Amino acid sequence: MTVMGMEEEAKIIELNILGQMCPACLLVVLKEINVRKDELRSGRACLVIRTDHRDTTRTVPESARKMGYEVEVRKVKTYYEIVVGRKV
Amino acid sequence: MLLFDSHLLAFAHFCIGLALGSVLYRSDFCLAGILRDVFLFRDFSLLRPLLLAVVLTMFLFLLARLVWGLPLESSPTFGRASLPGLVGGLVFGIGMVLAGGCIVSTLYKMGGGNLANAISFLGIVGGSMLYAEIHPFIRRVEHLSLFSREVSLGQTWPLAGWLIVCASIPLFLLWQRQGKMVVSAAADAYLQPWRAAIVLAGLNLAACLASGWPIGISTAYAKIGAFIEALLVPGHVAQLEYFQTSSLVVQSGDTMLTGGAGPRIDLVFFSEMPLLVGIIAGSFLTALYLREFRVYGLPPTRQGLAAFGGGLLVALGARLAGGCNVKYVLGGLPLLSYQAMLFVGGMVVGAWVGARLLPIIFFR
Repeated sequence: MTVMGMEEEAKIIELNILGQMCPACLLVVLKEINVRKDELRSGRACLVIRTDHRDTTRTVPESARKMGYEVEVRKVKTYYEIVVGRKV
Repeated sequence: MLLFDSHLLAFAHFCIGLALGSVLYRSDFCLAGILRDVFLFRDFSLLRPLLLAVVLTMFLFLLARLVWGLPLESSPTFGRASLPGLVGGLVFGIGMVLAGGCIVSTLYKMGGGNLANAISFLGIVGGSMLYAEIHPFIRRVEHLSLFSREVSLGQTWPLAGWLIVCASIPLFLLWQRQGKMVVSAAADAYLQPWRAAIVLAGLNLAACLASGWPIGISTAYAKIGAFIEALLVPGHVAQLEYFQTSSLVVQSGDTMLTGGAGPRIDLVFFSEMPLLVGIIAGSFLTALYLREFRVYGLPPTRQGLAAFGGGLLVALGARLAGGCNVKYVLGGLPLLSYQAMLFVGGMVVGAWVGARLLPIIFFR
């Protein structure tokens, strides 16, 4: 599967934080980005976060972009999917 | 004011609650989160809209005094500053960070379907019931530790409010020119926090015009707790001073109206309770409209425990101080209430402590 225009297929790391409380969402995501930074930076993987927390569509993209990652947000049914990919 | 007709008063508060719930859901303008994120993530972006809400409310209250002669600086819901106000703010600050929301944000998040906030809600109700057991001791401490003779700086120095408003205008204009009032979010129908701040100020003025005092809601939780406890142990409730006394006494014409946390139909029942129900309904309906309402199940155990424990602390803090952050930040600071200043000072320190504790609770 190609994600965010990546030339090679990237492994998808799914992170389901549906129903979690604020601010655990951002803490959990930041921790995951930190743990997976080598895979994410190289473009070998991308992180797909599922959240129902509206403010996460502000905080996660802002934080990830500050770290230099590509970010996409889309609404899927009743929740949001945030894709964090390789460094720009 | 609508104090002459309790049903009209209740209807007005329900409508204010509906609007509040919808606006808060769309903007996710969480008063607890704004302060917590300053310490946890060094994110200051929502502090500016919060400051706008405070200063704009201050301006509207000053205007209400000029135009309608509303004596808001002597509002019946604000008392003299005391030690429990400061300690209450501290406990409240820690609690709101652990609970993932304050008194109001718990309601709109719960209305949107989040069960973690429903657990916080139960914690706040439970904490209010616990407080009733220690109320006589806290009131004794309060009487021994009154700091100020006046209730607000506005009483001592009437021009202070106007000076603050005038001094703040260039700051907001500068922030607006620099684009610092706008944040980027991808949620459907997202309402910019600065717009939410304007609506909050307007709704607070509407509440003042309806009842004569700014928005307050924390006693409604205690009332829910009292009704539940009265069903289970009516004899015990009858002995608790907190549930038998009135925290709100207002003269309306020839009638003396009272309200309190006790399990009875009174002024709090017709003002704070419909506001509480309105906020939940407003966010629920907005979530339904945006096709976002869904209950995703219970949060992880640590988060659930933090939510409940935080809820207990939120309630204890609010009861110690005689109100929550909505009353003191959005109503008390604009009125330059000394108790509000103490509460907010304590709450800021509490939020810092909570932000230190949170990663430990979640991950270790």
